Amino acid sequence: MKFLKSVLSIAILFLTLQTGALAQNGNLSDIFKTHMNETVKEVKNSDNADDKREILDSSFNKMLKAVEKIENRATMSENELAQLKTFRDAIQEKSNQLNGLEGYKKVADVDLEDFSEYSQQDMEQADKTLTISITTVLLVIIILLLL
Amino acid sequence: MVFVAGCSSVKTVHKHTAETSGANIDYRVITYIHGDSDYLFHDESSRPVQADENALQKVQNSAQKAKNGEYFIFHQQEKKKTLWLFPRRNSKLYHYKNGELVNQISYRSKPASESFFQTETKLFHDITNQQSLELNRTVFLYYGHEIPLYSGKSYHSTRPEVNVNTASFAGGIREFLSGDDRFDLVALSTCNNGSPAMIHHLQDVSDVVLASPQNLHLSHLDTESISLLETDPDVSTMKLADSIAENTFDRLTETIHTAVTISVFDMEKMKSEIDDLYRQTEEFVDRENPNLNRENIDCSKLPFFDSKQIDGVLTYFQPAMFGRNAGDSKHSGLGCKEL
Repeated sequence: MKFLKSVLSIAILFLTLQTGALAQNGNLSDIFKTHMNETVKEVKNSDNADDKREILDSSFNKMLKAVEKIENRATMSENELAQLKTFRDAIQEKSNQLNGLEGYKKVADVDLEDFSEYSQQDMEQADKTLTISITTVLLVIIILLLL
Repeated sequence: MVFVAGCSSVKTVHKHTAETSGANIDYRVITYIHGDSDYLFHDESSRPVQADENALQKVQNSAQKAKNGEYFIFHQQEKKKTLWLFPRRNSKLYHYKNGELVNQISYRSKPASESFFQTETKLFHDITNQQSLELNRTVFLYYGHEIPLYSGKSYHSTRPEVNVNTASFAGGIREFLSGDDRFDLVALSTCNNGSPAMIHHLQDVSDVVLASPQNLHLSHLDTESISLLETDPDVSTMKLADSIAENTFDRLTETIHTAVTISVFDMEKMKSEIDDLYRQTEEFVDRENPNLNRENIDCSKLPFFDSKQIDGVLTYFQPAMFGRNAGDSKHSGLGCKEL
């Protein structure tokens, strides 16, 4: 599994560097969506509720850290900042719900798979996409953070 | 037959030479599929799907079955260059008549000065040559991300200069029509466009509008029901729209755990109320300055909204399985920006 993950990471990095000179908007959005898809698969492949919860929790935390990195390192317009804030709030809300924080009832063990799909579907709505231009270097950092 | 057009922005890659202009065309469906953005989603088996390609396939299937209809399918795609120098004609127009592909044209949009739909409407009029057909029905389908309320920059990833918003959308699709003509149905396979603003702007453009007041999954609206125009040509446009909405709702609610909301708006019946409602939502946005990037909420949750049922709105609604609004049991059918 570790080996596969490393191979996948190198492949993503290679592809990213190949397209480094191009606009990064689609790439950034796709990276988060691909990460969430891997999370859903891992949740479904896991047999016990504690592991499923841990996988989801870790995935949300990684995405929040990645967003923080973008906020700290990228130069963004007001509109891009607003987009990123909306994106971060949505992930934070999922994390709160998973853990029963901020007035949310904790997601029941039996509902964790549905909750992972819900989180993914929410990210993949026909809504506005994350149109933020970031440098290739930052994109690589984001990929590494999400591994 | 293949035409090479050098540096032209348009290249015909397929043209059917048989005489088709006299064919019986009873209805026309114009489709615009937006592809110049991020449209990746994953299906229930976690397989990656590009939503615009998926939509194209669905609409082409419908076009091939339209024995009495005509389809114009514009698949707009990102601007690309060959060797970083020469602009490529990446977008495609597929033109079907009576179930047969009669034209396939590659095109690219012209420079920054072009407005939303300008290239497409010009191509459309070049092909139809202002030929007036006695059409029983004219339908416009749009597949893409949410058309923003005002700030329309960056809607197209590679053409951020094109201003896309509810007003430019309504004005743009109006250009497909001639004189005082109207669409019978405009169906929006987007998020958050079942809004007072969009309905207000489409008042003079269409008799019926189908749209989602909140989120709509990228797997999009179903188009099989357009075949009703083949099997039951006299079907009312409201019934046609209702059938598209119901089929889509049934499919989405089988697998989607987020809220699913699809509304059908009868513009004639809404006429007396929509302008007032639009004015109130505009005042609310001006006064409260909500984050327009956030998804819509049900307009009935805002203080100014009269909770009575608005005449002319038919809504299919299933609340989200999780989240703050998981317990909602009804929906006004209209979506507004929240604080």
